[in-house]
Amino acid sequence: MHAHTHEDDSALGQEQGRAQEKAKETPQAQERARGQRGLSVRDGMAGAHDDAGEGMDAAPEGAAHTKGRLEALQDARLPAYPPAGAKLPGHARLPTSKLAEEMSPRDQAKRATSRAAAFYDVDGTLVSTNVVHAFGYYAANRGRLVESAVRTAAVVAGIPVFWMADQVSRALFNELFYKQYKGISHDRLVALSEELFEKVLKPAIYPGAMDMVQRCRETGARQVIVTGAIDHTILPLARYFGMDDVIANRLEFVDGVATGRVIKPLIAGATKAAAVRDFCTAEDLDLAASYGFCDSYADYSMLAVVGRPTAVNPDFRLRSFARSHDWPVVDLR
Amino acid sequence: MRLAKELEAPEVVTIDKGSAPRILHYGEDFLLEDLPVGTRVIYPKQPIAGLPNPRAAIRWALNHPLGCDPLPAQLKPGMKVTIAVDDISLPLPAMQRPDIRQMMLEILLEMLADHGVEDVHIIIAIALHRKMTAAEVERMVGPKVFREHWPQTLYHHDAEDPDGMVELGKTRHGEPVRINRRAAESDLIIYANLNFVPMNGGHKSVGVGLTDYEGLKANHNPHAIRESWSYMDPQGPSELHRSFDRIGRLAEKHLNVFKIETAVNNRMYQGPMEFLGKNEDDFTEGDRLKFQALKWTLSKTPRAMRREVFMRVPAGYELIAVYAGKTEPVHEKILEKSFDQYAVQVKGQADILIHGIPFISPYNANSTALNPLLVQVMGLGYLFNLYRGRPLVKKGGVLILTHPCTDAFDTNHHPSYVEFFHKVLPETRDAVIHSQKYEEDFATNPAYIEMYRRGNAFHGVHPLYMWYWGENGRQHVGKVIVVGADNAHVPRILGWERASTLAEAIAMARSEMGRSAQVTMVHNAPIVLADVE
Repeated sequence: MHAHTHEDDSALGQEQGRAQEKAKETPQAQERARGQRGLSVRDGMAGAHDDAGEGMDAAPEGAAHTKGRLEALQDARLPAYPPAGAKLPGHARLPTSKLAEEMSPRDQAKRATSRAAAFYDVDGTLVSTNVVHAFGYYAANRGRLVESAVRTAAVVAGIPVFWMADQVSRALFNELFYKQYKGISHDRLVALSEELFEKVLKPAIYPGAMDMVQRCRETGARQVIVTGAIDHTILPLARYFGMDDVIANRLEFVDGVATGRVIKPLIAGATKAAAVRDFCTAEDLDLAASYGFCDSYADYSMLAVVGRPTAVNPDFRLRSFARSHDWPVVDLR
Repeated sequence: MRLAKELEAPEVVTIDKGSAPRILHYGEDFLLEDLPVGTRVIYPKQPIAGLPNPRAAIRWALNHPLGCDPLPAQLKPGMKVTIAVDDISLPLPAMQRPDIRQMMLEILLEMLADHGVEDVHIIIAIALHRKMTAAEVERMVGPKVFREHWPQTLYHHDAEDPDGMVELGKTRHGEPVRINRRAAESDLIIYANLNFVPMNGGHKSVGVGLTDYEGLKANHNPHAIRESWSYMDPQGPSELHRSFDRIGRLAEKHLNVFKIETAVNNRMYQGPMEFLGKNEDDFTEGDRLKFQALKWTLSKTPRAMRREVFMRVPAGYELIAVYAGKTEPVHEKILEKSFDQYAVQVKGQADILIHGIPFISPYNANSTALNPLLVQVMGLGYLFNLYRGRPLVKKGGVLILTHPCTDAFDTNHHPSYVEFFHKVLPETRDAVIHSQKYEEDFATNPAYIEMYRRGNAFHGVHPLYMWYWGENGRQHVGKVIVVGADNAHVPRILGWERASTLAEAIAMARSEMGRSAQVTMVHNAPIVLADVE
């Protein structure tokens, strides 16, 4: 909401103009452009998204010492910022993974013809940590000792508030939670993301999660992470799992420093379902043939929109819901 | 006074004007129904007496095998041995303890230890069946074996372990022979069978129990099923068994397999429930009172509790034969004994055949329901196939089944059944289309694979196999009528007609088959295998 300025409007105008130019080229492009015009609100968001992306690209003054490392990380492991090929807010397309390249010719052929996707939640589904844990890691690694201690204490003190907010709404939780990122520099987040993955996320991957993703890849389905976590946190994990795409929240940056706001629409709860639906429309995928994997009742709407929902390590409410709908329930723990 | 007239065999009686009503299984309940005069009722044979000392009989068999050296002579220190056993899909219901598998394992492990064989793994040969819970495994193998081996050296076969399978080759029909890697890499495989029905054992054990989806595709398909006469007559015209034999023979060219097969009697009911195996005309006043008391109790008990009670009453099966050695001679001997127990001579086929469907099938031990697909497989797959020679019902005849057909599934055990039953079957009941259009999707669904590997679920493809399994019955009978279904949609999805009472079902069947149609009821369970002349 706050990120939607006159600059966004001009970005929106430019984007629509680009789309209209493209529309003259091919019928497919015409179709795509129509789709973009139809998503007026989302176009606005996309504009904000692009602005933020540009903001991220500009190296902040205080981050010069990590610039080289940041570039190296971006070159070697992460998709470009803003992500190339992204069609939706929060969407990043990853380069083809080794895991996908190593598939058998038979599975490659399936992949070429499949119109299914597999959508994975992350926290509690593929890994046993959550966004609070990840932020705790950032907070504890703020650079200056005092700042680090203050941030960590703030996260710990905020846990009951976050918990209560999560009980009310996952979106409210995320909105409150991401305010904690205010003031963190973009390059710092990117630089720490690899470390966070190695030290926090990788050891927390559930036994069996990689197997499940691999099986799913073998069906030919496109592999997509849909998460309420911020994109920096999740991209190394996505690469590790050989994902094709990531749909995640993106922080708003001004001059390379996080404002504490998330670029709308916030990916959480029901908006995950909208993101999944929009992704399928944009990528010409069959929602009914697609898989969904989530652990929490907060994400049930994402499971409800796909044809092949699965509750993974479900909480009590999702387990009951899955039972009542006869959805498969998998325990990867 | 005996009012029924005896026909061909003492187990076959004909209903007369004064005959008592007959008891039929009806899920977790029973029906008591009058049958039309002239109806044949086929009863199971009386149980053959069990061997007085089963452990001694097992030891004797190991020391006097058929077609190979005694087991002790084949054992050397340092060798790698894998023992494979069947899962709890048999016997039904679970037998009283000690289970025959427990006795066989205790004897085998002691013998192996005595000969310095230390590298021993025990694999429960589930193929694509569900993994058992630890408690179920302990009950089956006994506390001693469980304590010493579970879960390191006593575990389930995992048909989806990416590194767990090896392909030994292909048969001349192109069937891939794929088996569990640990078993394939062993110096000796000892397969300890519990042969509950004639379909069990033989080359099916290694070729099916230790294989995976790719291996099963060779014979678990509509074509093989349609080309199979009776599943219970392995020596008869059955493509299914020919495929098992081809696969098993090729496997044994590469592997050293030592087979132990055991036959049990049909003492399914014991103690206060023993009257259920009797001819109703021979009921004493006490039997009638017991049945009334049972009916009253069941009427006051919720379905879930009735299931629990039924599942927890073990059968009194006893060992009646054990042979060991090479697969084919051993299986031949066990088949003889099995037919001695189950086969009943019947003169001529029926126009209308009646079967009561009980609460249990090979695929729902300890499940919360006998789901509609399993009702189907019990009727058209198992009960229909309990014959040798010719089917008990004529081609185009009517099969009447009694079951509530409740739309209930155990989603822990049968998650993919729900999708198959509610999404695929309403679209088509054609098994060939299922195999071409849907089978791979179900077999490769990652959620179902993980539930099979890490939970207690049947493999994703299993519901399709259940439908294929009913295929030869479906191709043979003209109509299926289910009595007492508690809903309309399950029979409709299965392609069956409904009747409120048995009398109504028989009237409907007679309208198809004529007023003089021959009606036969099979008084199961225990098992009756009809030798139709």
